[in-house]
Amino acid sequence: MTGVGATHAMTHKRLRACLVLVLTVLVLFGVRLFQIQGIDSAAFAAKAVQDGTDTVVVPAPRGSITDRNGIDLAANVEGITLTADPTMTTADAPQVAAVLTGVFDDLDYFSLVEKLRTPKSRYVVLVKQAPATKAQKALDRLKEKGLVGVFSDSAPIRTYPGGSLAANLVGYLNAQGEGVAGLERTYDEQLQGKDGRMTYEVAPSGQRIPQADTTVDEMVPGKDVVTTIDRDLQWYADQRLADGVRSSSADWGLAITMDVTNGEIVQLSQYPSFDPDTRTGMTEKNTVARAWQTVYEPGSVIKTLTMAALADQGLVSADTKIKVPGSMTIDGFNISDYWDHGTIKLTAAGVIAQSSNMGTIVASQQMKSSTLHSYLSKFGLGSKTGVGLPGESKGILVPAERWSRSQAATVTFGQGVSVTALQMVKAVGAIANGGVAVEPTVVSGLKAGDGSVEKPARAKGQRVVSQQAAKQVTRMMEAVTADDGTAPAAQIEGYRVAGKTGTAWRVNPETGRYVRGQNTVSFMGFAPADNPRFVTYVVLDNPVSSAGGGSTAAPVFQQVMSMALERFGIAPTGAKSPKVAQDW
Amino acid sequence: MATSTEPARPTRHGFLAGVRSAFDRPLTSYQLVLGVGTILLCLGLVMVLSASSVLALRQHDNAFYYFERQLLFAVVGGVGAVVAAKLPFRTLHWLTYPVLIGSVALIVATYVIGVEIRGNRNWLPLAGGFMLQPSEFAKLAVVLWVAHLYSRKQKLLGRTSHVLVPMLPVTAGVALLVVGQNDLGTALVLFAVMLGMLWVAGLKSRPLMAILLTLGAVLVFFVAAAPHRVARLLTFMDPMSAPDTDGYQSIHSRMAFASGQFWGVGLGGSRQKWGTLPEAHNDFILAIIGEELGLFGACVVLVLFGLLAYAGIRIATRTREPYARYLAAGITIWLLAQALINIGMVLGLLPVIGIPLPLISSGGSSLMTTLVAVGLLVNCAKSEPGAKRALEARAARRSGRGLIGIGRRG
Repeated sequence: MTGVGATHAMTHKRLRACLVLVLTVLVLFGVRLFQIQGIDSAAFAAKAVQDGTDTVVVPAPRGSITDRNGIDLAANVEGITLTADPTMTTADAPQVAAVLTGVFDDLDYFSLVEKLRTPKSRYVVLVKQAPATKAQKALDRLKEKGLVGVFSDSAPIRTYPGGSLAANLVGYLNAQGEGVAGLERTYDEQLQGKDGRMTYEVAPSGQRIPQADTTVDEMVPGKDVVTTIDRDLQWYADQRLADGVRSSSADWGLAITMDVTNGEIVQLSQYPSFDPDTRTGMTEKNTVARAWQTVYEPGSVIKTLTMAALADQGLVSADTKIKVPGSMTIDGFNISDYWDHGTIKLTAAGVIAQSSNMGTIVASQQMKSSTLHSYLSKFGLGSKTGVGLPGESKGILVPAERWSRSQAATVTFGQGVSVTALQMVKAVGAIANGGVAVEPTVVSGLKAGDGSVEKPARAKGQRVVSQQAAKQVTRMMEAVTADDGTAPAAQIEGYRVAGKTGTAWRVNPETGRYVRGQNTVSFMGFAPADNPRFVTYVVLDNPVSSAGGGSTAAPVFQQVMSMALERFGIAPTGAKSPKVAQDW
Repeated sequence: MATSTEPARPTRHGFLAGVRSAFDRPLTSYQLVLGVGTILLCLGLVMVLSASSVLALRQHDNAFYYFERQLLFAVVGGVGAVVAAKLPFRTLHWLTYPVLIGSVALIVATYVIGVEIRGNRNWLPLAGGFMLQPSEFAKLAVVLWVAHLYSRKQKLLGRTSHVLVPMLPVTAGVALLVVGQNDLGTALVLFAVMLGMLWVAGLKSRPLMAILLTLGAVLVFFVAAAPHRVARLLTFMDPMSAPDTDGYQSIHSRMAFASGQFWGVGLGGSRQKWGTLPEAHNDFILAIIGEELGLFGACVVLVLFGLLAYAGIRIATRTREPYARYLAAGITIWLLAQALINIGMVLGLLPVIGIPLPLISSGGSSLMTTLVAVGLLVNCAKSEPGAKRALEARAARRSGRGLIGIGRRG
């Protein structure tokens, strides 16, 4: 064979070797691919995802708190909020205000200057719900002029359109946006909703990568809390209560109106209160919810419960004759009525109408202390009302076996027992409701974003006394608002009104002793007496010493109850109060 | 079907027999090169568009910027391929020296007016913002020249001296010029072509080993002389030791493959192309293929290169033209060496060496010369025994069918 032929054959062999080598390497590469894509992929794939992902929290808007007609009592404001740090703006307040009024036409220059000079504050809200363009314009102009101390915040802020309206009931948020009082706290979880979360893959530039996986945890907006409050009635009651507190120089006052048929609180006023919108007046004594957190001795209003207990046992009726001594001494403790008298003859209605302590004690001597205690417990004293508001007190109802003889006597007219106003409303509401106690409630439903309304479960009413007993006590209470009763000021033209005044000695919480000359006066009443719909309770704490429940609290009751009947379209029944003899 | 001429072949081998007979036709190589080349080119165009769109939009405000350029190069290169497939060998012989000298001159020119991009001074600026990479042309020039040389020396190749001289000094010289440009990747391909051709030309084992060892020693010296190359080699062993610097590209390449898994995240869905993996549309395009089209897509690429290698070697072994044999072998060695180095690098089996994946990676000079090379391979395929006749018969059949069609229409 020639050399050429040999070379040729070797070339073929070596070419094939080349091919085998290349194919072998390609197969190895295939194996490697299988390894890094098929087998060992998890760690690197996870790292790739983790390296380039961004998580954005989609904040759930907090739900509103509305009145019974859907009007906002608390709501979230979207848009830009301009705030200022007065420590930085005090010096240049006029210039800053001039710039802001130049951009926002509806701002008042002088109140703005005042806000910018708010002493001892580092945060004031200047403009809410500003359009972004206007807010930016204002900030730009301020920057141009070298004015500092004004900031913008795009986070939604909580606003309370009514200001101090029902503030203690609605409550407020802390700086972290968590509800810390009132309904804002009770329903914090439902109001908050659930923040959404969106995780998506991003390029190193921060740009979101289309087509790449995005995991979304749906945002669930907070639910709206629909209260049972009627805003207009609430506003009116706030004003009348404030007038009452001021004119009687009381420390504080409250007024509560409840629908006795279902326990819905339609109005709950407290004065003085605070403004959660501007965050002014937020001191301990203003933010405490008097209606369910403050405990006091209710005084004579309790007599209605004592009488109801007696009537339920068939021991009294409105015309039961009672011989009332001038005074009595029990365990060295002298008890008398607020007016001097010898032994007088009163009917049970007369005892209530004249608010006779002596008469009440004599009547209640027909039952054992433990029986009275059991009735008071059933009326709801000494336990929470079930309204479910934060920090509710149970009041103080000591077990009967620990009552002293004098306490056994005084409890019958409301001394030696402590209550919350809401407990009293529930208890007397039971009498108005034909002897059935219903739990007071302030929320009628939770409204979700899709419009569905979740109704909170309501406990069934508990019968405390018979309908007949309730009727007897109502007749006694009607005598209170008669011209010769203790509170003719509570009369409402065209309606029959049942009521009871209360004047209790105040207890100094530090010493646990009564303070001479300091009273808590109140008026509890319901109307129409012949078909009760609302019970209204007005309490004034520590008014001028001459004031009594009939003269100070009853007029406030009269105004609030009149408005409630009018707002809810309760027609007068036209019936006349039956004449009941007060003495014999 | 077993025919009467082959009664011994059992029918149960019908399928294998079918495959064998399909591969046993004179036009198999021709069709394989044409088909595989076209598929790789199209896949490349699609993947360049996908991988470069984000970068293109960011840099040039036009998501199609790199794709449009690549398409232009593909068209120009395609025309070049057709021409290369049709030129008679005579003309190719005649073109050998002008091409070689021209390429070398251009490389030398880069030393004078070259532009440095990412450490490689191997670019020549052209009008219209285009850049030329003369080292790409040098690969083609060297292959053409070696084929020309060995086919002329066919009868003398039994002697070692004729295999080595002037082949070794010239190819090594060109390769060293390229090394001087700092373009280590292209130089590696040139050395691979040099060694491969020496091997194919029948160089005896001992001198071949000597050359291999010398090259190895030079390589080791070259790497050891520069600390950054040592560092790069070390991070290749363990990319995680420098995840934000030298190991960065390897790690993100791994992430791309890993994200792709078996079937890929879908065409266009790559995350790594959003700026995390540098050179996504270029040297690391296989990683994006692996990410978007998965293990399946990446394996298709491997299979296509395997078929190209098979076709190239088949041409070289079947042709009776020495020139076609050496040219086909040279081109196949060149394209496959380049592909294997690139894939090995992307898979993390080789250190990161800047070198494009033939026919797929973005880059004008590379794509155009590669297309011309594929055209030449087709040209060589036509020199296989029976291929010319088969092609003519096919052309005749087609025109005949056309006539029938016209007749029917009438």
